[in-house]
Amino acid sequence: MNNGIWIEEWAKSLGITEPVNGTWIQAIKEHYGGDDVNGTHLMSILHQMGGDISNGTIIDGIMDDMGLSMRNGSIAAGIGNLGTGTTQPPVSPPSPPIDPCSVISGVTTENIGNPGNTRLYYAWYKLYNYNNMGWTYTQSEIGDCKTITGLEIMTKSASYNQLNWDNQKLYVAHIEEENFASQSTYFNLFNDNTITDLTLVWDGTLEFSGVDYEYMLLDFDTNFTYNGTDNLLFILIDESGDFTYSYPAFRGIGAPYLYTGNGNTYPAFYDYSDSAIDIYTDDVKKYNYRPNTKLLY
Amino acid sequence: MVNREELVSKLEAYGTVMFCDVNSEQSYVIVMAEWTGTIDNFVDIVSVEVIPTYERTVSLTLVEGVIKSEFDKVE
Repeated sequence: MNNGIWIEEWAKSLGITEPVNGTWIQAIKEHYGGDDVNGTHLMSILHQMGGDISNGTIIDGIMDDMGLSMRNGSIAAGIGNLGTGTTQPPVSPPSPPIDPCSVISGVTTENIGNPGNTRLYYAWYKLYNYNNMGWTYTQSEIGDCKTITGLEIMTKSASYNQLNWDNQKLYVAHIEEENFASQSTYFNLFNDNTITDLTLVWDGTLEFSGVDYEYMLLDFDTNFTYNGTDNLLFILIDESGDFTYSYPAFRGIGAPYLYTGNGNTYPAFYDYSDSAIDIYTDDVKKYNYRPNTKLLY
Repeated sequence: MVNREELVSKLEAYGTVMFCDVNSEQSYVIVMAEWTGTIDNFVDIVSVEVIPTYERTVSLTLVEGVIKSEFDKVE
């Protein structure tokens, strides 16, 4: 090993393929993500690795932190697996902390609630010009803090239901309530100002392909960060101003199947009108079915 | 099972049938125009002809002579 190129070898052991500004030490410094400390790249690297100067030199501090030592008086021989005949294990840079609320990979979750029961009917009431439907998910169903990036809803359609409905909006908010067993609960959500973060997450067109048991993706325009402690309220509002006599639906799950032993808990509500709906003031009907959905996060 | 022919016959005594059929298998939709009766007249008819099969009244409105209604099965 030529001690003159040990820094280059160190950089390559970290997966770095090119120097930065002609220097490998700067590339290593940028690999660890720190700013220069006391005007040196090495001090920055040492700080990022959480080490300190032992025995009076920066290099010693870095090597101590990596669990290494000089070999045959050579820095290069001591660093990781760079030295000739070394038996030291490869050294990986420290992993950055993972924010549990951050978007991880856009993974689709399992179905929420009771995914096995998809035979039921969750109507999309297009008999009227304007419609409003809402439903809840409990904390135990959603799990920990996460950033929700989309929603998939299973459709119950036939070939004659190949329809598009524009001017649809999906809102999400944190709520304390689990259901709407008491019909006044819905009104209290708004009148008591218990909802503080009602967020328009998607605004677009519902496209029913006419294929049964198919999931329709609503890819959020605005991601929603779930706090991991409250329940969630979803409200889908139809402002299309149009109606039809024969229309598609969503596949749903009845409350008795959602919560064993709880019977009719009414985890949802709906409203319909041929004139515009005001979700803050208009009447709603409690409903015992939720759409069959998957969350994207 | 709804006897559609008998149902339509009763409805036409009060107005024009715009739509009267099964929708998405699990619901039944009736739309009437120029309805001359009351909402109770309509309820009396569907209670006999529809409700025994589609138990739950999902929606029912009478606005300016137009009745829109949907009924579905309780599972």
